[in-house]
Amino acid sequence: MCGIAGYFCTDSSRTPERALVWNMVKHLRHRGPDAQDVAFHPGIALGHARLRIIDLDARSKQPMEDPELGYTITFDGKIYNYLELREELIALGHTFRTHSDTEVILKAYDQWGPDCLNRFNGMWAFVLFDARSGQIFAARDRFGIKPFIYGQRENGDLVFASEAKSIIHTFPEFKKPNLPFLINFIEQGNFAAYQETFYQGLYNLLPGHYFFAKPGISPKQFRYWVWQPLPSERMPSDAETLSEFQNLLKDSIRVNLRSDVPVGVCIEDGIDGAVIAGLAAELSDGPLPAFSCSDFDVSDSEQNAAFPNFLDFMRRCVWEQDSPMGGPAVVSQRTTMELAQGKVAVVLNGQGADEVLGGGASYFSASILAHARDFISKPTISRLLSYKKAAKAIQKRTGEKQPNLCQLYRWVKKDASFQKKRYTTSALDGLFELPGDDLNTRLLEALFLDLPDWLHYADRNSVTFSLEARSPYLDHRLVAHVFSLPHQFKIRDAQTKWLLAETVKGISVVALEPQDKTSCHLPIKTGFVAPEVAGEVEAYFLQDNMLLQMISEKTQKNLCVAWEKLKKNHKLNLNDECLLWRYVTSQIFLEQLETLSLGLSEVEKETASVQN
Amino acid sequence: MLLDNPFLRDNRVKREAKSLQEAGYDVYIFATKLQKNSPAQAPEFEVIDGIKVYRIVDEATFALYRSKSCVLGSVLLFKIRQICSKIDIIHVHDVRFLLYGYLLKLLTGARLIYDSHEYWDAWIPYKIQQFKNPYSDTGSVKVRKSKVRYWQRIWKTQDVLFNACDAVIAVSPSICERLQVKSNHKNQIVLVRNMPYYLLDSNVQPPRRLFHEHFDLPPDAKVLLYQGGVDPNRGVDRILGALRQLNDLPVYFVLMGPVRKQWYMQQLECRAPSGRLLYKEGVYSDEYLKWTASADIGVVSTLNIHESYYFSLPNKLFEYIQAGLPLVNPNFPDSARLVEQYRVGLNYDIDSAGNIAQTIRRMVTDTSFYEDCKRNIKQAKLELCWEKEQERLIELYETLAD
Repeated sequence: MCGIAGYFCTDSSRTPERALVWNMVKHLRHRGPDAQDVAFHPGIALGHARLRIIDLDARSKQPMEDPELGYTITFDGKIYNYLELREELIALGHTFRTHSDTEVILKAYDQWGPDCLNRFNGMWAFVLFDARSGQIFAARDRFGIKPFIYGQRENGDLVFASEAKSIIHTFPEFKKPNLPFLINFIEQGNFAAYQETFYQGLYNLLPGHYFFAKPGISPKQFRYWVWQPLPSERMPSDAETLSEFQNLLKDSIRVNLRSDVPVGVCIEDGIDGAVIAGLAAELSDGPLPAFSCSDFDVSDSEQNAAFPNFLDFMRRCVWEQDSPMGGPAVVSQRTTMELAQGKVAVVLNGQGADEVLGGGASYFSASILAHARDFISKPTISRLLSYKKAAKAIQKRTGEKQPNLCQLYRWVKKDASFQKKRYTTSALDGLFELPGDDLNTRLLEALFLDLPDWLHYADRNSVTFSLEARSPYLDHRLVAHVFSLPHQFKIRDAQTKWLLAETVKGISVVALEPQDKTSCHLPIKTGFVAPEVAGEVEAYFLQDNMLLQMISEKTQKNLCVAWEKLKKNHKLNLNDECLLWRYVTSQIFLEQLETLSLGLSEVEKETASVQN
Repeated sequence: MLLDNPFLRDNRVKREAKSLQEAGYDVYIFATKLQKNSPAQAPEFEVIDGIKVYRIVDEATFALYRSKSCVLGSVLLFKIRQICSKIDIIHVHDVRFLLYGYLLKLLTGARLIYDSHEYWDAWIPYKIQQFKNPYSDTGSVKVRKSKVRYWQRIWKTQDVLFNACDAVIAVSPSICERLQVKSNHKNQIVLVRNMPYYLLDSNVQPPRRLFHEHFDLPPDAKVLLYQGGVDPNRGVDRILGALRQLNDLPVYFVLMGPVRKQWYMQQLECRAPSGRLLYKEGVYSDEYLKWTASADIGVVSTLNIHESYYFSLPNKLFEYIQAGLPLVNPNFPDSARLVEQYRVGLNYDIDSAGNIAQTIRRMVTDTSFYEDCKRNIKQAKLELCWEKEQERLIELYETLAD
């Protein structure tokens, strides 16, 4: 995990102001506490904050320069297949000075141009400056694991960084909140998948995209990972599918384990992390340190004791995240990362498993619809039976009566389609539904609209504790393979993530036991209504509140009902709980932005002291 | 002639029609209607050099075996019968019109010529594979499925009707051989290459250095010209890879033609050594060969993505020759043989940037070889021109008319 920042002038005869770029890097120190540096060239400055993971040698420091090729790069991330690419490039006549993956990017770009991105397996955000053409090349990984934000100043100069705080602390003109975007976030719940951000004038480089920029020409994003899942032409056997899936997952974990510093595993509730821990134990010398966090069995008094002022804690989290938050799971993940701090430098986690493999009860309806579609498109006895079996199993598990075929017919008449209304240019643009497969269509939508948010949270949570988070389920080979499978391999009857459930059967149970376990002492239910903060939170729900007035009437009503329920200690459903979190943290976010010069520095100091 | 485009810039068809008209045939061209959003203007009926052009074919006619296309196809055949009272030879340009050509043959008893501008047995499977490939940018799942079915139908139609044609025209010797085998040596396969008219030196001489003036290049600059559409299948990026190894030479690479993929053009611009890649929009008038003639070296850079490309004889190759331009060309069998036979340039290995760079270096630095090529071109252009090539076409028509 590292931090990158930079400044690119429209006029190559100017050199960016040193103090400005150093200030940007300073605000990324938590991402790379081991070393910080800035490379200055006419027209450009590239900054880097480094967390040493691979090739601890000082020669691998960044920004890395290759005087022969005329390239300079600042890079955040990891190219897992760098050893294989290195060998390939050596065979093509390239020579290497270091053993780092950064140098592999330089040579790969020289060899293959922008096409090199399609050869990389890993997570990355980087900017490469080509002194010979005077242009920069910026790229981000396929799923948006690594962050990259940029903006253009009034004079056309381009600024970019891993985190928005690095830019807004240096260039106050970007401090303005993007209110329509924020309101859309409160109502819909997505943000990281969009090109726009919570800040006016700052943009995300979309996952799977790159841009070139040169003096006088604004960056225009292009997709390099041109991938469209297609329905499988045949139904593969269970054994064949499982074996291929497990081989790919093992290979993904194998390359994810490449590190010159200790690696651990985050085991969230469920089997995603547990399978990684089990397979990682098989692939390394023994079980890796595992960390787990659970918010069960903790009394309210214990929770309140852990957070005397919940709102202050939330302020710190919002500052770390650079954004409002989508739900309490963000904070429980933070707790797991905190547990791993100092014990390991790299953690493998289960991010993406739900979206790729079909986890979560919310996908049951799509699964039933897909079964119904199968039967209606080709009515056979076996298809009817599998529909009946799935409906019965899901009904048993959820306790909800499943619709019959006649009720589903009007849905099946239309092709499967994406459900969410998109706010603006997003990572999902350019991808299409699988007309005959509702489940895969929904998962594809989740992969490119919902997952980027969780990757954003995981990135900020891990860097807060100077950790590098890696996600073996987001190996593009694995994702492409799983999306080529029919829906029955994701959810079978009522078994979500069927492939994982089958895989876990072959893994040693001992390996699944985490060594470090903690409870998340998080007053999710009572924190907002604790006596010392209730007054402050209550103000967010007053009728004259600016943000409340801007959101739609329907959302306003839902919010106020949820707030009243919370005050009366009534049970909230997950949707209401997340809506409350989005709204309250959006309020905190706006407050922080308004009082940036004063308020944030206080929080910043506090966080710095926590890290120390 | 049945043509599946609106006959605006199809130089090959234009040349063929003109030659036949001059040879005494009464030529009718039935072309497609202009798309509604097309910026081009053309009437539904016009007469060009005595050739009657009817733009009456609806694009939906080609969606074979659909009820709408059956109705449109029947109406089209009826209209053609109304317009041409007597038809002796039906000349079908390209595979999509083959079915209607055949039906017209059944209706009128005319002879059927199938002019295959591509090697479809390689082109169609490649296209189908593209639609089936999850890593290709070819649209939604629904569109892909229907396109796969569409091209499978077209391919099947060609297979069924191939031997029903009285003659087939192919564009390169290797494709001729393959089609000969396909027809089990039953069909008459005739080679008619895609050549321009002979270009008098006086039309391009004295060669003003148009590119030098346009881009304000230094007098010693050597202009490498790529002429034609700029898209990823044309391998222009390979030339750029080589150009990075030629920093010591005053070589400038000029692209002249329409840009089909904007992202690709941006990649090219950003990958090129500073200031060495120049772009000139396509010149569609008769002027363009003058521009061609004012370059120093012509570049052919087609990629070997399927046999239709591998065995092709690109029209730009003949245009460079007519413009008097020594050329560099990938070492694909037919085009390489031609370049070696007439000694008009050099062949290179498209997969090796080093080899491309070496080839260009020799062209630029070996002045005596370059002058030899120039001299050889003068002889080659007498043979590699439409005036010569049209003889085979006319001969074929005469045989069939008899």
